[in-house]
Amino acid sequence: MPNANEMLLQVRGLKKHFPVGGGLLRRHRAVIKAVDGVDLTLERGETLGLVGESGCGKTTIGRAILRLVDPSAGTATFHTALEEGEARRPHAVFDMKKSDLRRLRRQMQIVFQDPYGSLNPRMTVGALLREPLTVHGLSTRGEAGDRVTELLETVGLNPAHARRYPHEFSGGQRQRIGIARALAVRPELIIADEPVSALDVSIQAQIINLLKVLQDRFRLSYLFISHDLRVVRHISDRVAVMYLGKIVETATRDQLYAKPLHPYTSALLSAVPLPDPTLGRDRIILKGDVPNPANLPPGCPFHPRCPLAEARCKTEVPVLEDKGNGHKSACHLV
Amino acid sequence: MTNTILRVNDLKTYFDTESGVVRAVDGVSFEVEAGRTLGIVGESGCGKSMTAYSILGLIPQPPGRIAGGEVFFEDRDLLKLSPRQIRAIRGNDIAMIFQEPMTSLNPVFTVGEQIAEAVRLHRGADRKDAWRRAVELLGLVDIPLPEERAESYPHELSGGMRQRAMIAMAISCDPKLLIADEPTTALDVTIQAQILDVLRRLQEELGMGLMLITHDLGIVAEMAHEVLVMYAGQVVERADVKTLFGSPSHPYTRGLLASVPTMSSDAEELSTIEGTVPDPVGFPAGCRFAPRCDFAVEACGRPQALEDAGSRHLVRCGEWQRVVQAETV
Repeated sequence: MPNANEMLLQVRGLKKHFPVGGGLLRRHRAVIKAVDGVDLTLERGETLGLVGESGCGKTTIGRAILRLVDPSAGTATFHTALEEGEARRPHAVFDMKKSDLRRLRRQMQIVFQDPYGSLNPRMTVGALLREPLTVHGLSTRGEAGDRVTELLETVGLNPAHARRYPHEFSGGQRQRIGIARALAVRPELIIADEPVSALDVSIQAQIINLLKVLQDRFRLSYLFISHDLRVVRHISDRVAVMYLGKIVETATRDQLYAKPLHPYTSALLSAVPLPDPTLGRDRIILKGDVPNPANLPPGCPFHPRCPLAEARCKTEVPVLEDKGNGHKSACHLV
Repeated sequence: MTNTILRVNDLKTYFDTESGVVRAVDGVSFEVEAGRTLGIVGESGCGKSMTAYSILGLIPQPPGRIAGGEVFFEDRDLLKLSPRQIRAIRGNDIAMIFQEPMTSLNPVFTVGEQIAEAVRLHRGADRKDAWRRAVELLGLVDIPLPEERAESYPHELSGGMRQRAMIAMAISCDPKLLIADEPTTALDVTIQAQILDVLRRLQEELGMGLMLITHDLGIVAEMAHEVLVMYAGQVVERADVKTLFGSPSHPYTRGLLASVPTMSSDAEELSTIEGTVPDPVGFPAGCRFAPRCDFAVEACGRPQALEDAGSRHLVRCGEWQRVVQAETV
């Protein structure tokens, strides 16, 4: 649990717009507003769950924070020490030079959804884990072997596995390797992008438990990106719900799940199938699909599917505002 | 008043591979009744999809082969039919929908043309009637503006719309049995809710039997009347849905249920099933779950039969009474 609310990451007004269509001689190109003005904060040792459906922009946020894509607008301030023994101070992530960026990235790592696609099949597990150590100049060859052993043990694998290749492992074990690789450089922030979505439930539970143990042990902060509301509820301290590039609701985990304010959040929660056949539930079934992000509806982007929508929802864009106790929602009506 | 439309008896589907024989489906028995939903649940590689493919004669042979069993559909054993005879049943009396509709739809024809073609082939309708029926079917699965959508190509539709189009095609010949293999796994949760709603409504209206294959226990709880839990090619537990979730009696079923994060529990740690599924080439000789089981005793080294645990409740575990009495899940 975070103590003394030490700020780690502050994102303000983040936008990422992708131009699409057009062509060589055309003037007007459509723009997809994948992320359209997002504010986020993350404290040390905290987990922020970022939920939403495909195409809502949650993955792009993670990538923009790591500068894997260049943001179109906004700021991100990361409070950390770039060198061992240096005092922690704020760094403007989006203004950093490439050379400084590498040192910053030591403090923020990513774990991907697909443990099959994110590990080089031609490298042994040992080599995969040594690579980040070499890149960041963290250990000599001799020390690296010890560190690899330590990392494998930390994520619940056998040190003898260092000599094997990724294809020799099951999905759950591969995800453990992915986590070990992220941990190798002792980061403060891990951006976990759907880390358990490709795994079977019993394996999913093992990985979630591991992430929690590691968080306590190394005081990690997680930006946990997922479409699975059950998993997000289990792991998060706070949750932000995204729809079409914007955060529509954010609150503590308990506030959000006990009393969702935004009609989209309510619909999402009610759509989750629960493993209890005796529950008679009043399900909110949304009409239609998510609109084309290149051609967003005017007003509230959710209004065409919203069961509560009124006239002004079609014209006025709602802003994300505090509805009491820090529980924020972007809705005219609730 | 039960009306069994499909009866699978001791079905065995094996694959001959370089490293040995994979017993993908190993002695599976069950029935599907008209107007009822049988949920088949299990993790990757448990044999749930292979069971469905075997019923429809869709196992690639070789390397696969049906090593034994019977699949009775209306008094005919599907396993004894010629490929031609089974084709007449597939798509007519038994239809199937898959996880990824894009791979089952032809990208160069409009969805209307594809559904109309199915109607013409199976029903002998003329072009105009077939087209009219296609539009009607698209409306039946809640596709807005079905006349316009019928003119769309698959790539112009969203994932949810494509799955609806697949369902429309599947029900075009009023099948008595619909097999749905992970029909919503690739979809977002709000779209999944829509598709499940469509399936439930169509089943009620058409009275068809539904065999729903899924890894999601939540979907099983909401959709199924009866449930089959599979592990390593075998049925480990079978019960009506309330019994299965109310008093799960196989250690694997209990482990699976406990590892799902819920929307209400405050437990810090999720319960897990240690270890991994055994290698399909070298299943343990006795109970296949024993190496991962907290309840395992010496007797588990011998093959376990399905034991009767009450009204139509079967459990493949000699220790099930001890499992049920155990407090903690």
